[in-house]
Amino acid sequence: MSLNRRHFIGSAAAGAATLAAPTVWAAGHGTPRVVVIGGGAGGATAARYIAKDSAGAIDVTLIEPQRTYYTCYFSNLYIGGFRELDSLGHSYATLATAYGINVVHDLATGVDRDAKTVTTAGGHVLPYDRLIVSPGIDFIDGAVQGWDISSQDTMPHAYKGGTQAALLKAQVEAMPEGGTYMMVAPPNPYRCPPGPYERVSMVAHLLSQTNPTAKILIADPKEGFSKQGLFEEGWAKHYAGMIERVGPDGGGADVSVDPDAMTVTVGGEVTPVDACNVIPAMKAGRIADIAGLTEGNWAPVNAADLSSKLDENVHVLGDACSQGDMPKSGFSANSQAKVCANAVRGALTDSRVFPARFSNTCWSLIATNDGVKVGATYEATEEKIARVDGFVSATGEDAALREATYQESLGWYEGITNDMFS
Amino acid sequence: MSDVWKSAVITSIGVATLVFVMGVANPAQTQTTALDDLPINDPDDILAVCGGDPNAGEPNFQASCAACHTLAEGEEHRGGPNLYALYGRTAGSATGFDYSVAMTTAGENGLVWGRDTLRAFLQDPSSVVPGTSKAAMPGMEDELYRTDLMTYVRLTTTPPPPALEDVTIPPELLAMQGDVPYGEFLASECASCHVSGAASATGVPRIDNLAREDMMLALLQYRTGARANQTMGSVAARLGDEEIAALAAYFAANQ
Repeated sequence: MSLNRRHFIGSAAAGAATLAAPTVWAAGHGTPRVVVIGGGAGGATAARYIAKDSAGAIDVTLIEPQRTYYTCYFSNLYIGGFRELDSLGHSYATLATAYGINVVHDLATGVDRDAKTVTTAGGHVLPYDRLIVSPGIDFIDGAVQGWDISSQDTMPHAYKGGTQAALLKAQVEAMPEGGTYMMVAPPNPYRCPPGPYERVSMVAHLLSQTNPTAKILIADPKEGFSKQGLFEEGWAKHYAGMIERVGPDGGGADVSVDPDAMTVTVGGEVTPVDACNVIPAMKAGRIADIAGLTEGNWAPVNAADLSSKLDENVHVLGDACSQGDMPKSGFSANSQAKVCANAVRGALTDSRVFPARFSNTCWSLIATNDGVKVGATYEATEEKIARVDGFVSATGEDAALREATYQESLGWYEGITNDMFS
Repeated sequence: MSDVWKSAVITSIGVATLVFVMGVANPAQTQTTALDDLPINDPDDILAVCGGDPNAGEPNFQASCAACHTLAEGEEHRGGPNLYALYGRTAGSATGFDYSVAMTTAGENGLVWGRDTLRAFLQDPSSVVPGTSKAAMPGMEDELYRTDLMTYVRLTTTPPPPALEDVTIPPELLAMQGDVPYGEFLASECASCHVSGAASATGVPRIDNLAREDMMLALLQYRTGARANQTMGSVAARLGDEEIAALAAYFAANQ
């Protein structure tokens, strides 16, 4: 792409628009600059903490294409009818007004790691001293035969927040009586390990009310999955006979789809489907690859500060990084962001840096008031982010504990979104 | 209690085994407080910290240890001491047992039984207690055998969590100043779930208005397992007194 200097500053930096030459802001001059790519659980949290805690000592720019951020977490609860889609949308306004973050609604399209600049689709060139890359996931082309991103309106992935979840829900609601819903589940590693199975639970909840003779099929390339015992116990209890999962033994790793014909072929057997949720294999969000930060599908990072193993001035957070033992989740990204923010502030302003500590909990809703969770704490070792201690809900827990766990998940949602956006 | 941990075991084996495989290799990374220094009572926390499968560990104990050791509170000493409340106990200190000089000396030199000391002792007794006449038992060279055994012993010999009203703030914690900037960093972990400044959603209580001692007490209750919540138990399990003092000081300073 060509860079047009007349457009360099852009609307979001209008206060500085009288300056003619972008080199005025080059690294090493004046207030140190942090640019954050991606306004999700990793990026928004990192931007907010750096700006909040440095109180003007660091200039923070956040690049995010969407003006309203729809969380991917809790989109399953929307599909199940437990949340309104609007309740999952969040504005960046407070980050700009309360903390002075320069929020640029644009798509990062290039990173020049020698010049230490980020370019955007809108023609901005943004210099940085430290770059934080938190782009989430993209899908691996050809991972599911017959599916590519152009198929997402027919066979939604619904694995990024917002319109995809709405589309999938509409397609489930439009299924004929006794129709078939198919999920093509992803191989490891992928965003939100219990997510596909919570989604199946929520689709089953929806169908059990409106279309109780409908069937749900899961084609799964994995032998097992997160919280499997809990989900299978819950499915037998709440949705008996509705859900069937085909693992690798039954051809779950040998899947092709035909979006035009609305068929799915699993282990050679063709099944007509009425709604189909294809969740392909994943990789780091594209900009991580464009920036040369990936090895294979993910961006390797050091555990202590989430700095890239390929560039000490760049940090990669959340789903896009490969860090060790933490699952790819919004909670993990949020946790990593706070460690990263502490380290980046220390590097740029000599503020105190504390030993990294991380935690994660993933809540899942199986049916009304039947919540479960899995979680762990982590520490930084030389080699990776290493698990310290973990837990998981037990099968056979009483209803009061399950309801408390669900209520806790609602509190967590409010907590993490406040931690990102308030 | 045994039912509690047995039901937990079924769902915890996968993660617990991972903990064991991945978690123990780097004691040098321990930051402020070693997990084993903490008085963990909650069976879930014990499982999570120890790894291993206590169901597999029970026959290991019967085969390797039961001839000389009892486990239950108040049971008799045999060729070896009763092991109730073993974890956290100074070597050579069980009341009424006639220890060897080697063992008593090791205790006087500061040996405390915990995961790492027991693991080493079971594998090679004289490396931990110089001069002991105890020889390694068959099977102990197998890491998994030992881990299963130790998890069984820890679950069986650890006193149950205290009652809520029995958890009090130790004077030395109460006297700690608390490092406010450290507390601010630690509090960022709380902010993943807890909302500050106003009554928040159901399910996760407000904490930013807790008085210093209330914060200390709540964290001690979670750390000891007196108050049950898996997430808070997991978070509090690695908060040493320094961390609790820092958090309490930070929240108190920002009200």
